Amino acid sequence: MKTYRVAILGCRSRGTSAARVYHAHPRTEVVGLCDLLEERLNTLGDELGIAARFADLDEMIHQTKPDIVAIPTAPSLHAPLALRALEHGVHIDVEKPMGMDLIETDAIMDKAAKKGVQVAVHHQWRLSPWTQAINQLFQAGTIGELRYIYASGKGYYGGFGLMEIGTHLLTSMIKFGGHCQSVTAHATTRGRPITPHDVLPAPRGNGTIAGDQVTATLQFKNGVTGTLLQHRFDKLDLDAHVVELYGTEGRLLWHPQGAWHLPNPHVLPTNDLDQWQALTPIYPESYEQAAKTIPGHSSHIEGDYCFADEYVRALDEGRAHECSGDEGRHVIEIITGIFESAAYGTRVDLPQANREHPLMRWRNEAGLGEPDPMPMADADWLAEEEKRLGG
Amino acid sequence: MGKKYRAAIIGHTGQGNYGHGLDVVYADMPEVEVVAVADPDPEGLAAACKRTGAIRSYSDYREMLKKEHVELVNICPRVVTPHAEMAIAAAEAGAQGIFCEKPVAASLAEADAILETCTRHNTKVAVAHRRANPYEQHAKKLVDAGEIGQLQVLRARGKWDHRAGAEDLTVLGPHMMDSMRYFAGADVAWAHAHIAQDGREITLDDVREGNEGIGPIAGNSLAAYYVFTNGVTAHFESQPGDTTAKLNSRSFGFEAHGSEGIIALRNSPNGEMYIHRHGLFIPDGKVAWERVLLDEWEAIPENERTHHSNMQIARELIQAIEEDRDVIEASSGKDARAALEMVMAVHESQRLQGRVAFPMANRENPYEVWRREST
Repeated sequence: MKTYRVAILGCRSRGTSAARVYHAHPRTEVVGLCDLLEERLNTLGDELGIAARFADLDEMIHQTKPDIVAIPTAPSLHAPLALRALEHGVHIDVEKPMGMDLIETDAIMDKAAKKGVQVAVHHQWRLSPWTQAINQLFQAGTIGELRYIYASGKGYYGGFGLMEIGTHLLTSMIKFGGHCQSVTAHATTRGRPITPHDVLPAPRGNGTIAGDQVTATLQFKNGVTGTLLQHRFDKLDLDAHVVELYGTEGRLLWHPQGAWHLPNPHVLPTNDLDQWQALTPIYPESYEQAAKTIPGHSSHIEGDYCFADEYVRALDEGRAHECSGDEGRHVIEIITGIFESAAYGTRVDLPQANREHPLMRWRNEAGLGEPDPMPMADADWLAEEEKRLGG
Repeated sequence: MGKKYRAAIIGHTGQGNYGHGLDVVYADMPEVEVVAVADPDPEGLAAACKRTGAIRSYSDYREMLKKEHVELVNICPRVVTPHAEMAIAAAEAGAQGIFCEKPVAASLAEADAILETCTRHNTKVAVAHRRANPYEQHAKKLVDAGEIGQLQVLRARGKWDHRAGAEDLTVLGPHMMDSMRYFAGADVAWAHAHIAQDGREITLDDVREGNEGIGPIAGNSLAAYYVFTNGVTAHFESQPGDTTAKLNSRSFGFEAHGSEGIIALRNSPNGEMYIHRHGLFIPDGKVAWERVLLDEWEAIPENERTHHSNMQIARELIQAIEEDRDVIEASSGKDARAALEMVMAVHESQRLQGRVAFPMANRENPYEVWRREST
């Protein structure tokens, strides 16, 4: 069986994690590393024993001839670097979010189609062992017909949360609910509806956002509906995100550290009914052996490994990765739909014909230009936002 | 002893009867004397007189109102069609207080007419919504005191029984709408909803006449989303559930989600209350739901609790009359209209395929407008 050659573009924490799992997986081999910072490049290269180290993406691809290029870089670079990598006719594994707007995601999909290669968007939670456990029961019809999906974030500033953990939550929602037909949303900043003045560049360069609390309702086919909360908490809770499936005969709840099944559809937290059963995570066959070679263990690593494993199977079978470019683009369609709905006060049917970022359009229509730059680091960004809002 | 109030009861046997015990609410209230009952059905009238101890009986409620000059009028029929006419007649006859079965009216236009007349005659209105339940009152105090942190989201569901969808929304939804608005402590800014019949979006062909005079309705599953003026959001869901499960009634209720906890209020009107002292529910055993029990209420047999809830409403109505203020600890006429508006907004949103701003411009049943505009 073929061993797939993987090149890693970007050696910070997400790149390190990607490199470790592709290195550990028996069917993938890390053939090159690329980073502008030599120290990062050498640290990771030394750890994994990889000599092929580059500061230039094109050079790395040219010399190492990878099957897959992983792009775990800063968000604003996802699309530009994805397009550059795709030009070489390689499959890509691009970190989420796939792009900052639909113009970017469309460009990636067009280029991939022209080159006849795969795009996978790195939504590792969608494939995590806990999600697999949920999916097994879901596919077996254990909760009957799906009626409703609920998801909530970690407590980041709402609009930023949407571009961050929200992408994971949304891809899980569409995994079970199918593609979303329309969205309606509400966004507030300090409890009042957002205005064009609240449109800001996100922390970490993660696109254009608005609102510290974002609530969205999603309509899927077959009458299934969903709710997504991206509310800023006083204190961030990195393990707070959940996805819950409500069926006619039971419920399933996903959390980064666990998964549970409630064998009845009722919402009464009484002793006889509130009997949630903890599920057992489902790992790829090769994980146990491979995990021994991966330093540090975390649910992130597990998800990353499952993601790499899925890529191997998808390429073997000549099919799209479960977290395909189409799925990643649809996530951005939902997010921009949420922002459009919150800004304009309308229901937004998907996929939208206008691919421009709706918040920028909203600002332009209000006679405002580009918003002022904001700090990249979360804490600095929040301090600046406090200042903007008057203490 | 204070003033003795004179009350008249309006029922209609075979047409919604006497609602959920609104005719006998004064049986344990010595401050009120039921002097008359009106019911077009002779047998029903005789039985009602016996139940209520009324001295006089009438087949026509208008005649009763004209002759009796009572302070309190109870509008009991579950069939909503005549509520507006009855309430307007009661206010014009000089009633100081009206205790009305829910829903208060079949349309917002009717609710507007009731409120306009009652305001003009300074007639207080209380409607039989179940916020008048000790658990809801207790939970409201906890939420206001910050026990679950900052209130963020309210999530309600109907009974999901054979009435799933529009009928569940219209018959049981007003309780939830009233309670959620009460807990949010603000009016609705806008609403959005999605209605389906057997999984597909409804069309005009799906519109049918609802039971109990609630007017045209459609759909057997729906999801509604509300945003209050203070940023709190709310959801109401009704989907076809297991119609054989009695647990659907116990599940009927809502949750208040705050930044530091969740309160669940279920099984209205008997009441079941639970609190989860973490803002997020994760069934990992670290934080468990705690049942909250109010001993005094639990000591009341279950089949008498609706009666006690009704008494709470009646006492609040009398208090409002005596203090010349709005009904607060029960649902007032304005509250009931607001709850009805939240129900109507679901249909209106489906008709318009978009958000509905409050107060709603359309005061008619949305399906009547839709039908008219399609011809």
